[in-house]
Amino acid sequence: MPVSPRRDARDLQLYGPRLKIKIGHPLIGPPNKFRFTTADALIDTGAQRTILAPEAVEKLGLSKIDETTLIRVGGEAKADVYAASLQFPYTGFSTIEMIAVPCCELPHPLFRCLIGRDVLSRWILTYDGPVGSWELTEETGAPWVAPPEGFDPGLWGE
Amino acid sequence: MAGSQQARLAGELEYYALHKAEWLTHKTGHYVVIKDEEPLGFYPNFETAYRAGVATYGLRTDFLVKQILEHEPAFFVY
Repeated sequence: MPVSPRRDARDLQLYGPRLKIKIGHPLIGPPNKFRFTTADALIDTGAQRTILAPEAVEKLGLSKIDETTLIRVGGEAKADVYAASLQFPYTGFSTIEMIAVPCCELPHPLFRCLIGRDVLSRWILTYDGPVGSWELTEETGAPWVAPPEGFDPGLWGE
Repeated sequence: MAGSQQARLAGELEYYALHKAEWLTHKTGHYVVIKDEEPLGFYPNFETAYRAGVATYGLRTDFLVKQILEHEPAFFVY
């Protein structure tokens, strides 16, 4: 089902499409008591992999499973890779129960995660620059659930 | 990466580097799980490998899950 936050064209051009996500330990085995953290994520078609900022990794105490190399503007850097789960509140989209995510500094204050093409490969993304709107669709997704009172309206539109 | 983060899995990564050439001959593309310089096993995909690691070591423990490839991949993030 679609996610259709209404945005103005200037905001979308300046800051890009952002989505509220929940990050946690992998959801395998019996239900675990480990907490989740919520973060804003930038939908980034230029990112080959989904990336987490160090704050989220440290807050959750995620387990490290590998190291890799990230090639970014300005050069390349080594990055630790962690095992995580990703949930997409208020969208009805399927939870990703287990994913390997590299971690590196994300200097922009508006987001602590980049949703890369590894996750986007599950969805359909429509980006309308002139109108300033974007839409995500997951063909097998559950119905859209409206965000609760007090939720950041700037992130989701009216 | 911070120094303390680099130290995590240092032994496992060193063990992997030592055995990579040997494993490339018959396990290319598979995932190996290593903890404390001891391989747990080889698996056809990441999910199976990670589940095996959690079943053995637990969810909140570091262990290496590494795909055996001749050239280590680098990922573009623009």
